[in-house]
Parts: sequence; C-alpha cells; structure tokens
Amino acid sequence: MKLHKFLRMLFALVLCLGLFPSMAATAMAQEQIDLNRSVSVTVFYREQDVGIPGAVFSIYKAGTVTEDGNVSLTGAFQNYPVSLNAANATEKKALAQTLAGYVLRDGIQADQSGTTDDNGVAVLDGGLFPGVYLILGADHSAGGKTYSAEPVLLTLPNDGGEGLEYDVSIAPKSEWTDQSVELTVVKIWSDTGFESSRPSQIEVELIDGTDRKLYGTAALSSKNGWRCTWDSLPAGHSWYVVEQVPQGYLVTSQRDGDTVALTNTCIKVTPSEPEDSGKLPQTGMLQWPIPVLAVSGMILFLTGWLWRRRDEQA
Amino acid sequence: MSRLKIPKKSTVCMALGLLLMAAALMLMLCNQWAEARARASAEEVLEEWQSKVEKTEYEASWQPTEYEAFPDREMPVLEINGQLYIGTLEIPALELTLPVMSQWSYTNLNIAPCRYQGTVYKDNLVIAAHNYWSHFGRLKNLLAGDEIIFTDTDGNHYSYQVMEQETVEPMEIDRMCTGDWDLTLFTCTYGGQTRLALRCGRSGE
Repeated sequence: MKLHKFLRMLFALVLCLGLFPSMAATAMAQEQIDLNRSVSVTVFYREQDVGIPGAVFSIYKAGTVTEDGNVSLTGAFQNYPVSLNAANATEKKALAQTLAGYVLRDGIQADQSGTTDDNGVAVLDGGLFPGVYLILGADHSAGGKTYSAEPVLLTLPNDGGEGLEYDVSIAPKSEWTDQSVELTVVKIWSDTGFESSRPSQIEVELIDGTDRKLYGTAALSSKNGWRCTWDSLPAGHSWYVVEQVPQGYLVTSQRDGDTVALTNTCIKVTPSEPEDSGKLPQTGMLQWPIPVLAVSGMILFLTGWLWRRRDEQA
Repeated sequence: MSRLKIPKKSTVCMALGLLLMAAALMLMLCNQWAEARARASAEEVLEEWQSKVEKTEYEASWQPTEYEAFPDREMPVLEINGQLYIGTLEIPALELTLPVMSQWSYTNLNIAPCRYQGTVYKDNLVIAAHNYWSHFGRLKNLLAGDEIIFTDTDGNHYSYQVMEQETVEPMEIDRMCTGDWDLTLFTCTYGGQTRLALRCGRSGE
C-alpha cells in the first residue's frame, strides 16, 4: 500500500517537472510588445570594416504591430499588393526589395532620416514606436565609387530569441558599381489551379534607385516567356523593378545578381475545375472494337455462306 | 398481288457480317486518318520550330541555365500557328522527335504531345500524348537505359534515361505525377482502360 502511494507521488512529481519547462517556454513566447515604448535603429554602413561617411538612411513605417506581434500594412503602404508575413530571411529580403521599389517609384516621405558619421554610423531614433519598418539608404558617392545599400525590413521590437529588442543595429550590405549593367526580369506565377486568372500581359517599371525616377517600362507575356532584359543601363546606378500587379495577386520582387524575379501569388481560395476532373486524360484511339467487329463480321458472314450452300445442296 | 419476299436467314447473316466488317474497316480508316493528321501536324510544327530556335551544339551533360536560379518560373514558350510550345522531345531509339505543347487539352493532344504537369527545371515534368504510332504509340517498345532528350525554347538540352514502365489507373493522378521521377511520359494502353507511364531519370545522376 505504501509502495503504491509512493509511486503515485513520484508520478505526480514527474508530471509537474515535465510541465514546468513547457509552461516556462509558453510564458516566454507570449511576451507582449509594449506599444508605448520607443524603438531605434542604428545603422553600421561599412565596406570591409571601413565606415562609409555621409550616406543618408531613411526609415519608413510600412506596418503596424499588435501586442501579440500581428502585423498589417499601414499608411501609404496599405495600397501595395504585398504580404508582410515573411517566413524566413530570404522572403524578408525579397519583401524589402519589393517595398523599396514602391517607395522610390511613388516618392513616399520617410518618417525620419539620418546621415552616417565618419565611422559609417547613423542612428534613427526620433519618436519611433513599435511597427514594421523599411530602412532605405540613398545611393552615395565617395572616393570615386557609388555605394548602394541593400534595403532592410525590420519588425520592431525584434524577437532575437532572447527577448524583445527595442533598439536594433543593422549592417546593410553595400554594393558599388562603375560598370554599365544588364538587368533581366522574369515572372513567376504561384497560382496553381487559377492559371485562367492570369492576365495576357503585365507591365513592369524599371526604377532608377539613384535618381529616384522611372527609367523605362516593359510588357511581359507568354509570347516573350514572361521576361525582358534591359541592357546597357547607365553605370553607377541602382535599379529596382516594380510591377503593375493584376487583381487578385500579391507580388514579391527578388534580386539574384543581374536577374529580378517577380513572383505573383494568387490570393483566391477555390481552384478552377480542370478539364478532366479527377481522371488522367483519355489518350487512346478507339482500337479495340476493330478486331471485335472484324472477327464477328467474318463469323457471321461465313455462317450465312455455309447455310446458303447447305440450302442449295439440299 | 406479289407477296413480300422475306430474305433467307443465310442472306441476313451474310449481310450483317458484311456490315460489321465494313464498320471495322471504317473505324480503322478513321484511326489511320487521325494518325496521319497527327503526324503531319507534328512535322509541320517541328519544321517551324527548327527555323525559329537557335541551334546549339548538343551536349550529353545537363546544362544549368538562368532558370535553375528560379525553377518556379514558367517554362518559356514559342508560339507556332497560334499554339504555345515548351520544347521538343527526342527519342533516338524510336527515331522520333516531337514538339511538346505548353498546356494540354483534347484539341491540343490531336496536334502534339502536351505538358500535363510540371517543369523541366524542377525535374517533375509529365508529358501526355495519344498512342498514335507517330506520337507515343511505341513507348512500350523502349527499354531501361534508352535515352530521351528534352530541348527547351532556348535550345538547352536535358538528357534522361528510361528507368521503368508502369501501368497506372485513370483515377491515379497523384501516382502519375508524384514520385522521384525527373520525367514521365504517358499514354493510353491498347483498349484505353489504363495508362502506360514511362519513368525517366536525369542522365548522369
């Protein structure tokens, strides 16, 4: 009896110890965002550990965030066909490039700007509160080179795994070019089951990120493989591609070297019915009746012929 | 008044027999006509294709292209006679080269093999065609190890080897389109009740 009681107590203890870590983890994951607490971004802009001074960085509030961390587009960004839910670093990078293109095309006003000092550091901290922010650096010339900073998208406060960080540092990559470039735009459709919703063509705009103006437009369609190339682009400029997104789609723009991929994701739910729903297409000629008809016909004919012969001989 | 003459049993039998044989002949001629039309349309498209697509030196190895960076993008197409084509399929063992249309439909299948699903850049391409002798009617004669080459509109070549053949039921769409096969060709078996799937893997992998 005592043993039985002891085992019950031991079981209860093990159960509690097992629950404790999961409860602790749950408690940590549910850390609420203090929406009244200010946030800041410190930019470290360097090339091979040498600071790039005099570069202007601007910060734009692209989305709001709730205490539970749910995000949604805000202000001028509400009109853009994008989703702020980026699952990983690659998607976040693509989203930053997409939003940067819209900002440059539409001349959206920044919430704040700052210039890097001799060490390549700029602090953006004036009256900013939790939200989703796009940090964009203006193309900058120094020492005979043109520097172009990679756009960065941040949710502030940032969840770095060890609690929420309200003051964040970033080190955007800088690229510089003095060569004329070629840029290829390719379209990717992410709309399985809704292919019939696609337009016959879409317009894309090439934005000069340095001069912040429209450089050119192109039409993509199946006839040109949904791609186009701009060649001999002026040297020392950065480039962004913006799409006139068709109704019912979201867009992300992802740069890989000299290629920009524009992915359109369909936001519908019910797929269209395929031509031969639920069955592989019938790809056979009607052949099996041929021998059946031929053999039956020969048998019938022979039978009739034999009867006739018998009748004539009778 | 003359009486209506009732034909003898033997006459009726022979007439029916002739009728059935005539029906068999008609059906055979219809199939021959469909076969000839399919062969002619595929040849016409191929001629047009060869004049449009830049010829590249054939290499047996897989050539990476810009598409590998973005495998989800639509396969580029070439418009010929108002239809869109994604490439050509060459089967040396059958001395057969065919154009491949971008999307399948019963109308399109009368002209050439059609992509049923997938893309060559993600190694999940599935191509369907009628079992005409000039289309996929001789797939069953291929053996493991036989080579198949797909060429896209940019002239990039993708080499495959036949791995196996399997019979798939018409309702087994998932089984036809999923799995580790890099390329699948399928057509109806004789009788049309099932599908013959030719499973292929990339050469050298």
